[in-house]
Amino acid sequence: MTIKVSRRVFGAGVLAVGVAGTSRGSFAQGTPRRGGTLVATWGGGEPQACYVPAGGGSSPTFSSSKLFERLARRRMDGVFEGVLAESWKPSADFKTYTVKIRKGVKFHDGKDMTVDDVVYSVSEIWKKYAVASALTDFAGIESPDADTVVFKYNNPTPEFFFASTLCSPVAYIVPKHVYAGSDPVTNPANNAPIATGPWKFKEWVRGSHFEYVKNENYWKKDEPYLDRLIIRYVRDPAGRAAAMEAGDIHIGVFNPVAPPDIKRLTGTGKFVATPKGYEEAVWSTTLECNMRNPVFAKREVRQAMFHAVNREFIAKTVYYGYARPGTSPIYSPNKEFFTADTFKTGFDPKKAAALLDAAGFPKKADGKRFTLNLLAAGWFQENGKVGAYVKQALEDVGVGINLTVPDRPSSIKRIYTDYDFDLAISNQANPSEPVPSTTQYFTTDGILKGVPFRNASGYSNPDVDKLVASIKIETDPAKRKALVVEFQKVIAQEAPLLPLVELESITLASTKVQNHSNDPNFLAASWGDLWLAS
Amino acid sequence: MQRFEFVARFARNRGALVGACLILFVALMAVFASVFFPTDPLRIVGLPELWPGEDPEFPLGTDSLGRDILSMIVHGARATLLIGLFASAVATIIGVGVGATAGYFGGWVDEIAMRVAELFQTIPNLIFVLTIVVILGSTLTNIVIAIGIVSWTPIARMTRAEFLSLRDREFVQACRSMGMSDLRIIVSEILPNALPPVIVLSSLVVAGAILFESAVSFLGLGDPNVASWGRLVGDGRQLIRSSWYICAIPGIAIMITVLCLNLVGDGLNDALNPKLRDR
Repeated sequence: MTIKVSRRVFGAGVLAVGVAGTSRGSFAQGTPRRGGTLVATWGGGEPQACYVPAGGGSSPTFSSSKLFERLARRRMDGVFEGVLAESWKPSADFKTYTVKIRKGVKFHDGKDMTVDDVVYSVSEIWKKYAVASALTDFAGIESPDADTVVFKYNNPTPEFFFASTLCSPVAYIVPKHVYAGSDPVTNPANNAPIATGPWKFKEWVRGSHFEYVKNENYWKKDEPYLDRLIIRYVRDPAGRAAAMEAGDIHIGVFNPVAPPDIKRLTGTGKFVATPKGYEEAVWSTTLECNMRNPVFAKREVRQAMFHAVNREFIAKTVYYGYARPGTSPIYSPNKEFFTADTFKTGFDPKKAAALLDAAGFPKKADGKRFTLNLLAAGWFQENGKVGAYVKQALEDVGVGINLTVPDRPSSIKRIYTDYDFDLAISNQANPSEPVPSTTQYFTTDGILKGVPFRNASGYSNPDVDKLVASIKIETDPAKRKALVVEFQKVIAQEAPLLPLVELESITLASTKVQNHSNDPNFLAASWGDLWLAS
Repeated sequence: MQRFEFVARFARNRGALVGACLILFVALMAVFASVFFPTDPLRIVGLPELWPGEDPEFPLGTDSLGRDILSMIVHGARATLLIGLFASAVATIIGVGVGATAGYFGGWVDEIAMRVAELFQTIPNLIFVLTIVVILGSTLTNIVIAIGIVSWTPIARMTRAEFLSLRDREFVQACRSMGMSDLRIIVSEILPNALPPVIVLSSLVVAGAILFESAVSFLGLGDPNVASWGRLVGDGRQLIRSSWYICAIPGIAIMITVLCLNLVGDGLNDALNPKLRDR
């Protein structure tokens, strides 16, 4: 199968889709108006640097994705579309991929983007930092001519996996002439990037905002529509709500305000709230069992932890309905791979108690079977509330709980470096492609002391490792899906880590903002097509 | 007779009398919390965000998870007062120890003790408390220790000043010439005379400690296994535009208690230093 990618000519093409009523155009109407300044914010803090080669979390992804571009992106309808690549094609054995690079693209400093930049970015930035865990089979990249690069792999590589790698949020094409010969991590250009995107870096006022201006030489004709893009950071959700209400901020992505404020602001008719634009970055709140504690040796004990918890209650009360119960390590918006047909650990405290009794942990004289340390990661306020509820739910089935809610650095250290917890409430965000972002929470090679958001439970199962290895190299989409379904079934029953709830992230925007939430990872989209109605 | 005079002088300050009554009420609430509300106050018992009076079962309403605010306020009085008293005790023990030694011996002992005290005074108190809590972990004991560690310096300075003025008085010299040991002079002769202003200061440290604990909990670093007023304010912060009562009720409780402790401090000052008042 070859994915043909046509050069997207703006204007008629996109707007036609919009009018046709697909998801892409639901926040667009009329002819784009040029000019104006859009002020945006997000539900988190200021990044450590404007661009972090290793990713560095959602904050630098948000700030850098307006400047840098990737080789490809995934559209709302699931089709992969070239950005700096025009097309890609696997060889018959799926061990090499030939990628045609777009011509006529210039960096912000006026130099042409060439295949050399692509080769440099892939071998020096992607392989070493940005998407290293997706390139473990990567054998090298070559450029046979001026508009072609060839990716080589040691093993067969599925097309969906390859395309997903090209679309990874920070898999950018960086200028070789700026980065070559330096340490990319500490290159000063990371704080004033030179890239190819619709926005040019102007300044960063630390503690306040980024200012980006229109790239006049952008390769996509007509884009960007706006003259300026400001990314402002406001620490407090209540402060963001006030700034939006006052008209100082036009759009906030990733839960900018507290849920009760969403209702209040949309009620004025001046704002819209939408869960769209997070399909390729679905967040969840997870509960994981530390396998180093011998009580979790039997899987029935792990299952009992989940049976004791009412996920509906968490979704409804803690998240005000902006969440739904999770059942599988792969989340329900994932059209390619999700299956609902897995082992169910639904709310059933009687069953939880019975499982614990049968596993050899009857209630002792003090009414407790055993006592566990529950750590709720303090980076989201909601986690503390989930922790308070899970504590109560588990105490109801006779499990004593000692709850701690450490701040972000302490939580990362205690969960992912010290493994200092029995049960942990954490969060993850996953794209559709399960390898490696989802699977590395369960495979033995995901147990990496000190690396955050990997396998912290210490779960190690040769069958799961084998299954994931075959998912990695199965190139037949149907067979691959069957393997991923099998993976979900095993994990849902084994229950070392499962989502309690899948979160519905919300974008809140002024009704003036047009063309937003039109990318399955809108936070990491380039935003060249946004415009402001008068 | 002397005791009666003390009470009479204390009661002459009407504010202090009111304060003492309210503190007594809060203390009774703390003592009998488990009698009135035998279940865990952190239990989810009803619908979330019920306004005060909306459901007669929860006269002060419920918080964002559906926990009874009245029950949390009553149980929170216990945690809040305990933290205040113990933190004040820690601060007083350190402060009196350091201040007495420095004031009595003088010289290089005094120099070192006062430089150390200044070192502590230069670090912003709240940031220091947060640092200690983050490093030691957010349990009730650690919060008490942290507040004690930042609050001892004024007590030490006050004690030192009292000791400086008392150490060369005739009665002390008499003790010395009788061959009393330094420790005995400090503990049994000077300290009782130096204590009244220190007691007043300690009562104010209780109020300060309650505010510190509230700030720590407000910032989400309190002990999540304990219902305290500051934590309730912190939990309600997100909802301040829609359900402001979650913040306001514990906020008022904190305000009244701290105000009353200050009034009691004033009353103690009047009662213990009658000359000062009549002047």
